[in-house]
Amino acid sequence: MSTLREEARRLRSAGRALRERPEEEIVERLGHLLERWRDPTGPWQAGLVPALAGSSGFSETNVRDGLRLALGDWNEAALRRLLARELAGRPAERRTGFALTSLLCGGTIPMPTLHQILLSLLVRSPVLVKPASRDPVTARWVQRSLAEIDPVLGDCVAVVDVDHEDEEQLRALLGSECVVCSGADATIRSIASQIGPEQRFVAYGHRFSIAVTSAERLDRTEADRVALDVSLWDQLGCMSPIEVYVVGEQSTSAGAFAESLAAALERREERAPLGEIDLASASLIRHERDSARMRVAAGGQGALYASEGLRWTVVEEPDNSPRPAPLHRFVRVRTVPTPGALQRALAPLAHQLSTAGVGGGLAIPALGEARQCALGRMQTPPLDAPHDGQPLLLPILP
Amino acid sequence: MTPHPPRADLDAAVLTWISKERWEDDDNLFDALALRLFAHQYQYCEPYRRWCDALGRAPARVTRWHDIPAVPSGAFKELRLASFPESNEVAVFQTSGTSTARRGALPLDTLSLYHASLRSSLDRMLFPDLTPGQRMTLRFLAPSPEASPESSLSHMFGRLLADRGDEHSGYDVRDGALEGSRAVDALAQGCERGRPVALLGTAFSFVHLLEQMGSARFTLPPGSRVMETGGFKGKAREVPREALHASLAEAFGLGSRAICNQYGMTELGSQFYDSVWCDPAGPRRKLIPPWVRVQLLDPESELPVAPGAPGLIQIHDLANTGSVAAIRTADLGRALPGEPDGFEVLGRLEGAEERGCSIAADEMLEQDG
Repeated sequence: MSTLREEARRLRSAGRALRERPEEEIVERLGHLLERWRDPTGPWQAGLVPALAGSSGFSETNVRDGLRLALGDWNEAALRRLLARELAGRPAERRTGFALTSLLCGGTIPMPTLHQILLSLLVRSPVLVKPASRDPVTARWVQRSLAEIDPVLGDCVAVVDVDHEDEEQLRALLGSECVVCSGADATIRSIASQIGPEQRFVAYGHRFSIAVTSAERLDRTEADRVALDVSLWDQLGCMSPIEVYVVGEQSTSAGAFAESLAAALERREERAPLGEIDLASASLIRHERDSARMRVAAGGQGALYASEGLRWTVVEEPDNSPRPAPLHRFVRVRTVPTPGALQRALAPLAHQLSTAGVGGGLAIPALGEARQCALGRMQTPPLDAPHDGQPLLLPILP
Repeated sequence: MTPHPPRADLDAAVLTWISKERWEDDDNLFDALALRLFAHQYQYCEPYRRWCDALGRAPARVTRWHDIPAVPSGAFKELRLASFPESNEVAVFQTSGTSTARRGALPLDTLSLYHASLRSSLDRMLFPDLTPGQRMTLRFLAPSPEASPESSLSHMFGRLLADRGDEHSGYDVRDGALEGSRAVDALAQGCERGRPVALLGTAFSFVHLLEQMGSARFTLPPGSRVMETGGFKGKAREVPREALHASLAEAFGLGSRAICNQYGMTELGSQFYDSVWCDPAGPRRKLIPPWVRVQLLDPESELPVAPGAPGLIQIHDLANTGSVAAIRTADLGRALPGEPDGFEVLGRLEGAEERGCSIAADEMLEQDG
């Protein structure tokens, strides 16, 4: 078995062939890969779905739904759109990425891993991938898929397991010209401290998302859309809404929507059950449920809607006090009188906001750099959508 | 500083138990006192009464302590959980936090039980080798109680200083900053005198001290010890407890069993200490005082877990007479096979706020880091 340093050396060498490939050809091959991944009846999804469910604990239906919806518009045309938008007018030499990119994946969701590998290859930079500890599957699946359709591209991706205690391995992993890291803020700070000034460091840290709807248009469809956004990937991604804001003057609106959302989450549970919950998360859910129930019992304000067991939880909050987000289909519903009030309330957090799903025919002002989209589409960002308000390709180019 | 009159007899009974020279477990006594205390707290703490009613567990329906409703520790951030009138308050300890976060509060109408529990545990758990009245050098990596009157930890250190500290003892955090050089000087002087030193503080304050010490190393006199407590909530860095203990042992020339972790919560009247000083030969575990019970629960079913399995820590502390005795934490613990007197803490959900929402998590990190 080759060492990590040898693997990096091999990738650099493979990268030379990659850089000689016309960009057009790479786009076409990556588009082909996406086409094969998108096919719900094809062999790749047939293998990927149970593998992902097995490693992450997601239910298979949830993985299948997640892939179907997320990959829906990920295609060759989107790759071309991205290149045109970010690199239009650049000569070929300025469209070529670093000799080697290291990708440190975080979280449990497969889409960011697939996305970031595609971006590196799109700028013809070979990529050394350390998979997320909770998703050891996706990166390997991408590598295998690439090798099947285009051996040169397949050679330009290596997936390595790194022992954090092994300083030599860590140094090799972090020795690339470009290091892209997703994960918890503490992880990013730790990695950042090990990156030299001559290296490029691209970090995607902690973000959260919200859903916004109108008190005027509370219906079952709206609740179903929010339930879908909450339940896909069991709310473990930064694009999963952890709070719903009901815009309206009536303080009863949040209660009505919370009840409707609870029913929608139960319907969703029947179709695509919640996956496994680790003990720490289960403890937090129990704690936050108890706290909410006690607030209701003691003060008579707000409400708690909860499944049997810990399958889903909706808390109607009587105020806008910050409270923890246990995730795993745990969502809080609050009322704000106007879109402007929402903007003011979220202003201190705008820099951490990833996505705002907006429904109810509302138009809301910009919330920092957050992507705004329709409810039910929060987990399906276009392939070329900016990441946390930033371009996708420019940060990974010299 | 007297307890709410309807509770005076109860406080006296608990105080008698806590003040016994030897720790003696007594299930019948615990059950009897817990049920009496439950009836009192149900009557005088309105939010608790409503909670018990919502659960369908009023005193008339509860016949053993196991069934007494516990409040989630987070409720102390939301509600005044006191079983006495606000006008009788003599102290309010608050959990750590910033202006942007709610802070939990433990109101007290008397400190007698609090102090008795503190003294009993510290004498047995951290200073079992000291004779009554014997003093040693105590350096606290924390602000003084005068500088931080709302901090239960500083209060505890203040009592300890009065009971056990010698003339070289003192606080090494001033104006919110660790004065590492003061602590280092005190340690050096302790070495010169050849007298043991105890260093006490939060885990994060020790991380700071180690950073400020750089490459400086000590071989503290035999009998020296370290007590660290708390975690890394809202801090810019996390250091695994084992790694912290190893670093401390190396920096101060101590054996790992000279380093004791305290598991405590502002909301509790009693704390738990590692067994390293009072049972150095046994496995490291948090020892449970006789007036406290710890249950480990399955978070889904809320039933006790099988022995040895991890579970949610629920604490029933009879020293909490003025508040609510039964508290459910969001922390995980595990009982050690064959060691019914203790448990180990597996983790505290300190990252919970970073997992999604909590307002300004990163701002807190920046402020505290």
